[in-house]
Amino acid sequence: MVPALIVLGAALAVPAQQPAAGGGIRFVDAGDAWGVHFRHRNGAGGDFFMIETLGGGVVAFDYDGDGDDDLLFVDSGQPAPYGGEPGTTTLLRNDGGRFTDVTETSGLHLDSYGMGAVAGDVDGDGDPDLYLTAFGPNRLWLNDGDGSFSPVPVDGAAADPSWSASAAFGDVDLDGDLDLYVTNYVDFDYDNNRVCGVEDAGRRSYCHPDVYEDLQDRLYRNEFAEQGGATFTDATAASGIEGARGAGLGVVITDLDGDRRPDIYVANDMDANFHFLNRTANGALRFVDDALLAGTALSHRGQPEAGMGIAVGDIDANGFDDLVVTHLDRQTNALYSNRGDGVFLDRRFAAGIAEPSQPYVGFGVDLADFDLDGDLDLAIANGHVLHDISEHAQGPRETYAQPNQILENLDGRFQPAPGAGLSAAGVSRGLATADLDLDGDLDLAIANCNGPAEVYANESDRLGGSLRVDLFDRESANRRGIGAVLELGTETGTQRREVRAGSSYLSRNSLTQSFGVPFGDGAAALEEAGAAVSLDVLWPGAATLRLTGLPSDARIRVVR
Amino acid sequence: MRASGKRLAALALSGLIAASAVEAQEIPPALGEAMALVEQGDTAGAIAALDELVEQPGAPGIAFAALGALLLETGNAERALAVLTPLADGDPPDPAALFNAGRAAEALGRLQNAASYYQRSIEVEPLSPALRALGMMIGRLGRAGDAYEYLRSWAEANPNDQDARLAAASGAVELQRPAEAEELLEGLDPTDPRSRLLRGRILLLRDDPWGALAELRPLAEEPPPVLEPSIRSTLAEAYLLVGEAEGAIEQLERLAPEDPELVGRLARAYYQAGRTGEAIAALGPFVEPLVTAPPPGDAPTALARELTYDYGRFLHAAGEPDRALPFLRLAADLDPNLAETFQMLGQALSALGRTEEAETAIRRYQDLAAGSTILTAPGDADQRNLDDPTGHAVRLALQRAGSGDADGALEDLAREGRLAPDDPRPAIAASSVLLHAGRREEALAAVERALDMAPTNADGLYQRGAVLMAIQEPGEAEEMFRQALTVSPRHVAALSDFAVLLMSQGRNDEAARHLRRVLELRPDDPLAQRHLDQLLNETPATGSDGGSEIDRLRSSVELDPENPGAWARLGEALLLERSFRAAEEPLRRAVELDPTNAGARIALASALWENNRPEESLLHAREATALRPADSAPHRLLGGILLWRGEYLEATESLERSTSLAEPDAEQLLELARAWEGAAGAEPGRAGELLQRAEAAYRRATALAPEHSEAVYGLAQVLRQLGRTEEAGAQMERYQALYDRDQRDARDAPPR
Repeated sequence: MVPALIVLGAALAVPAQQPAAGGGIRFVDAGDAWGVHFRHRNGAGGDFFMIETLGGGVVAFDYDGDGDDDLLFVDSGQPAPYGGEPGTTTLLRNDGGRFTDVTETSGLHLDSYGMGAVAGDVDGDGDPDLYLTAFGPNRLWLNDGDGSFSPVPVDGAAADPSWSASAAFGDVDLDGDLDLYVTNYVDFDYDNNRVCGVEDAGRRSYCHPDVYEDLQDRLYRNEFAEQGGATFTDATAASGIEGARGAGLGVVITDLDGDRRPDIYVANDMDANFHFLNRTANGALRFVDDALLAGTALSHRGQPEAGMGIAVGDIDANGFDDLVVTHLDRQTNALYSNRGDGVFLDRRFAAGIAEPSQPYVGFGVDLADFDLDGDLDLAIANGHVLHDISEHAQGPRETYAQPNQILENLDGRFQPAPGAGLSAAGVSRGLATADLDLDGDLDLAIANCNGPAEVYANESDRLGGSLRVDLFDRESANRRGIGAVLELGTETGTQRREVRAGSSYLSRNSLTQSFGVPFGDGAAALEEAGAAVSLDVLWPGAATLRLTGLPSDARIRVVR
Repeated sequence: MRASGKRLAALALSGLIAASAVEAQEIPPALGEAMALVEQGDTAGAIAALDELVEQPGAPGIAFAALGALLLETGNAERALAVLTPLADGDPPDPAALFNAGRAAEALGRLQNAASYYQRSIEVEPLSPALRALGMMIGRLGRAGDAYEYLRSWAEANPNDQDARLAAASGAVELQRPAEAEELLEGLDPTDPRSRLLRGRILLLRDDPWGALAELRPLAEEPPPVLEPSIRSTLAEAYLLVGEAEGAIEQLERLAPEDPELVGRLARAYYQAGRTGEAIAALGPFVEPLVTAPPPGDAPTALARELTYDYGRFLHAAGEPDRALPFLRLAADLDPNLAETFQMLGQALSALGRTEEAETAIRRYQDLAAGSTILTAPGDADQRNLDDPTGHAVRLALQRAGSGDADGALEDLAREGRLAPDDPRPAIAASSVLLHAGRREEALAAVERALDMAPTNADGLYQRGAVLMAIQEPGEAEEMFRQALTVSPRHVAALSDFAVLLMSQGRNDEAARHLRRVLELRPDDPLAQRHLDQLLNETPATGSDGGSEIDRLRSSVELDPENPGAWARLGEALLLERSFRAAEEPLRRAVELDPTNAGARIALASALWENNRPEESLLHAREATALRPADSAPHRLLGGILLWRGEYLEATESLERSTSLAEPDAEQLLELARAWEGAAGAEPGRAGELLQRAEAAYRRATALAPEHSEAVYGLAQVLRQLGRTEEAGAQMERYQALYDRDQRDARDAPPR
């Protein structure tokens, strides 16, 4: 018997709306309305340092524990040869849909050239801490619980000094606290900056990553459970990850093979992706790369692709989470469809994901039910990596700034939602989803390279109720249940979510799990639909909790 | 002369014989009459007259040639060939008769004979119309590469022959040489559908599918019937590339294709559109029978393999790995060297739970992928191939040689040499192939041809060294390797082979230095590592206890711990082994015991530098220069450290001093130039003067090593800063070529 405390949250009962004729996903730019103002700087100064083209990220997390998701935008700053002025990584506190810049009082800053971030409660005190990645030492900041953060001394803080990109938290050693995987990209440095893209004098651009050596990713084991206080030790070699080299950009820690142990999937740029299956047993941390056998290493033609961001979700509702990986233009974004037996099928074309991505360079990405119809739609942040692509590319859509995209899931096949309101072009990188205005549906936060961040309010026609679930685990240092699986049973089927800290590109989504509970045929009464809703919570470890008779339009907190 | 002019007029009248070098002959009256009959349109009468003439003893060759030409014109190829053969086989052979004999043989379907006649005609008269005829004939046989060689030569000499230019441009497109295709199309009627089709295909090669769509869409509205399949299939390719598979499907379905290649494209379009079932249905009739009746071993299998592989992967994607398996196995059988097939096969086996077999397939994939370009960016590789078709052809030829077909590779390289007569690479590659085939004298001749074209080409110098080494000319080989390394100090093959040469002469220290350099440049080079290990194991300085040199030196310092020389020797030996941390302590001890030991200080400064202790390193380097003011080495070390720290002006002093004390190498001059360039940035008031000094140093570096890309790049940058834009542009172009070559070399370095 799992002790459980269920608190039905205060932010309940959003009035049910009837589906509009034709439906449709729509977003509205809410930057001014919500007071979200942040401008990423890359400090480009003409030497085309490769770092300038790949930042930055965005994190949606409830740093002050008031029930809404705040936003952290990671700035890059100025490359050292131009002075090295640090960026202004910015924390925006959310108060019911109005944001206030609290960076100064938070104490957060990053001296290195910033890339991305991930949030997770590494010290088990109930509030989310932050890990910021950079070109230069990464930094871990502990949440003091009073609105401020304190930096953890470099020793033991997973302060990888190389060029890091995305990072993710997960309890990979199964000891109850959050460990950390950090992707590292290539060995670019100011001293080895290569000249690329020269067609004649004065025509330089950013390099392809293959002119540099790939770097080793790092896996850090949190010693909190053993020693108290979050101290990370480098477990890259001990875990068997050492030696797997790739230009890592995206990472997610998730259960890929259904054995309830968190695995690691890494999107590499022009190298085979990693699909590290967790084979930890008896405290011995061990991973095995199964990407080639699983079918998630390469393209549908057996070629490595420029892996950037990763989204995970059970697109076909078969009970197993699939992987979406964003890529360069022409390569097409991939869908690795999980069969549930360790085998993934590349269904990018069959699912309609590939073709709409052909002209765009995809980075941040998430699978989420934006129209609450009970299936997962896709949001993609696009933007080219070459500032001058339009000068030497002939395609009308091959531009540096590119529109972001929403693909709507229509009976298992994705189609672009042209009226989604994301048509403004930008050089987008990080993307995170969260219910920022607390109206029950998922909004978008997008970080743009050397440009203003964007936030979009979800104004889609609602095709169902919205059930949002927060997990709290008082029995473990992993307080927010990272790695827990939620299975929602409705009249139309079962939906699956896993709580993850870190995915997309350089970013992290809200930990609040959002389900759309479809109204069913016509205008079936909300309460009738709700009567059929049940929720299974599979906590990290083995314990399972079943909740029945839940309302279909509510926010609930499940506490163990 | 008048008679000769008439003769040519008659031949021209037939429209068949070019103005080739037929010996001027007296024209008998009967021939004149025959010509007149031709002019009047009475070809049969002309043939009768000529028949009579050739029956007469001593009939001139021109009469046979004319008769043969007329017989050919009237469709009597058999008799034409009989009439022309004695003339064609005569001595000297008549190029016009050879040409017409070729045409007659071709008309009779005797293609080998035809090719032989054409070829001989070209040998006698290089610009014979046989060039055109042979090119067209070979082109029709699908050998675009060979055809292109002939057609391009003909089109260049006959720019008004639009058909030939179009045919040549088509060959260039087939060979992925878009720049040459564009040149051939230049000035042709832009509305000609053939020309527009070729431009569309060029745009695809140029990675501009949108441009191809714009060019071809209007053409596809009412396509000329003969071009319709090409137009629609090219358009379909463009649609697929821009992500509009339905557009591709529309074009291809209108062709109702039965040709397997087009069906394959349609199936891929269905797949790309998400219509996997239709993709499978389209390919099934072509591929299913192959499992029970695979194509014969000597049949072209590329298309069969591709279709089979596609069919297998479509089935796998449709969740039918059991159905996919036999086709993926067949695809693997049809081309056992294609990595992607084994990757997909592994996945299908894995999906069927046949893990061990899957792992075997994946291992095969990994082996193949490691040795191929599969792990590079395909788009970039394609672009590089387009920008450098000769390089691409050379790479393909070397691959062919690598797969055991040396003769085929040599043919390809010879053809590429004719297409790019000023490019030394085909000859250098041919030399390499010949050397591996044991044909050393020919290898030497080939590389010497290359060096005649480009005397300072590092690859050529290296290759000559390699050949000379093989024919036991170590002195000359050494000279060649040295020259190659002067031109290109990072030439890995030259460093490596030079090391082997030195090892064979017992010059192990020098060999070890080169091998270490190889491992710096290519840390995973197993051969260099093995040679170095071998050298270290062979080091004669082993102690009486059989231990290593290092052990012996350690024993020495234990026996005599107050001897600074012993500590210095131990530290220097460890430094040589790149054991920088281990070297630090003995060198410190050596300096403590004898602060005047400049050598130990230099070594200590080097070790500290490597151990990321720049401040201390600088200190010892300064001391070393004070101790040995007339020695170049400490000044160079000090200058290098100062340069790295951004203390440019002081760095220039040390590096200038260093270069004045000993003949500098290119790297040293490069450091000096960078120091001056940095100083110019730090002293804006003196920038002009300091940049000029930088320019001078860069120029000295490039004079010593003309192909040192970093030096050329630095020179270009300095010239640009000096406002000498044109000169900078020229240097930048030079740099770009060298950079491309360096990249290519790094990428294409054959497994050693």
